[in-house]
Amino acid sequence: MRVLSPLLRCLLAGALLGAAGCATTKPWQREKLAESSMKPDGDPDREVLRYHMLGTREGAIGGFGHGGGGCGCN
Amino acid sequence: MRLQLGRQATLVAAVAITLLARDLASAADEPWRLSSDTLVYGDSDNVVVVSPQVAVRRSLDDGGGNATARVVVDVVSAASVDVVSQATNRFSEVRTEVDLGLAKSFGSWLPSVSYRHSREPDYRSTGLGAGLEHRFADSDATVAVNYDVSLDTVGYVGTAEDTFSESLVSHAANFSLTQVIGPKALVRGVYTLSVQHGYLEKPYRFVPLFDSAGIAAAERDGVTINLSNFDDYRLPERIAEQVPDARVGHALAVRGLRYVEAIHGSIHTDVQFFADTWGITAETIEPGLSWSPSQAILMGMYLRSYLQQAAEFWRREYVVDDPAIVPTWRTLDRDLSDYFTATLGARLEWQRGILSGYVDLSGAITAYNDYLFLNGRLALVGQAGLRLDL
Repeated sequence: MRVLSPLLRCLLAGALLGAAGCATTKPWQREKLAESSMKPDGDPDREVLRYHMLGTREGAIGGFGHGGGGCGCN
Repeated sequence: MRLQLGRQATLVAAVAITLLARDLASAADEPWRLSSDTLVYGDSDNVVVVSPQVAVRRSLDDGGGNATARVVVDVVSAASVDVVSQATNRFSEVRTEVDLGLAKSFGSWLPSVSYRHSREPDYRSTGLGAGLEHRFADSDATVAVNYDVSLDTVGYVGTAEDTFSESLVSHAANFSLTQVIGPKALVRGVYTLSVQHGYLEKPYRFVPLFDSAGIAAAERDGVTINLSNFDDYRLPERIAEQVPDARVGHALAVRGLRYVEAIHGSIHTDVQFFADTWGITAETIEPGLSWSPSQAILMGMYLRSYLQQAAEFWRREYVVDDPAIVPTWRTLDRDLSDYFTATLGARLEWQRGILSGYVDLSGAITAYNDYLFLNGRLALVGQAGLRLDL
């Protein structure tokens, strides 16, 4: 267990570093990321309407788009 | 070599300054955005909803800070099986919602607050929210945490609030991480914890009861009990819907986006899992693609599949031996049942100077596996919007 613990710690640290973007993207590499088709969030005013409609038709709550509460239609 | 490095550095700096200057210019030159949207929903279950919306957005800084105000009205007209199975006629109602939001960046931190109020004849809701976003790793990674609380009052149309009024409190906490994975891909993960406590029923829903003799009679007649004949086989009693007062849900969602040179656009996929303390589980998958045939036009297509497993207490028919002893939990809410929805949609976005807009059309088909009043539903949704950047 004592042998594994440092290894596990390293793996965990590696995963966290990976998730934290240890290999950064340079500004001149961001051309494609700046394209409108690459926006992780769509137009907020469009999405809020769409997810409100989905929220009234789907039983799940949360994740992308819609949370609980807000109207009696669900 | 030294000269080459110097030229490269100059080129990089020039590109970086150009990109930065463009971003600054966009925030400084067009700080105001006026938006107008309309969503129209219609389905084969005789429900029509028209939702016009207007919004104004003022950019406050280049780190995502802004002030927003939004008003949306839902005009609902329904003669669905939910309505007619309760021996009532088509109803129409209007819901009005106002949203206000404020976010201001401080370096790489972006705190935000929001307020929402909505009102309809038998439902009132007030929501408050707060969030904090942090960019790091040269803006390759963004973490965000949001908390929203919604305080709702459930009423009954035509009845004074002091005669019938129930409350519902909903909490939702979101944790998300968005990570750039190289020059052409990014991924986002979201976890939502939702907690609802209070009145989660609909006061208009009364659940029909059956006994084993009624079920046997239907079998003897060779019919499946449904909307057209359930009155022939049910017991005289119909009891008010009753579900647990607390519901805790967990949602985990992942979104992947990748740029594809061949189509001058991107492909994306959303995958989402949901489970709650009522025993409901749901899986959502939404793949899609977007491409730009020209600089001013963006087109897209998407699929969405939603598969849900019913709440533990869901029954197609609630069968009792003694009408005086009824199930503690009983519901007619089909959103708590087993069902599957498949949606196919297409979107067109365009921009011309300070004016931009979009049109989104989709069709959805739903199959209910175990719902007394309905086997399926076909829905058509149209949404369009205009943006004016000043």
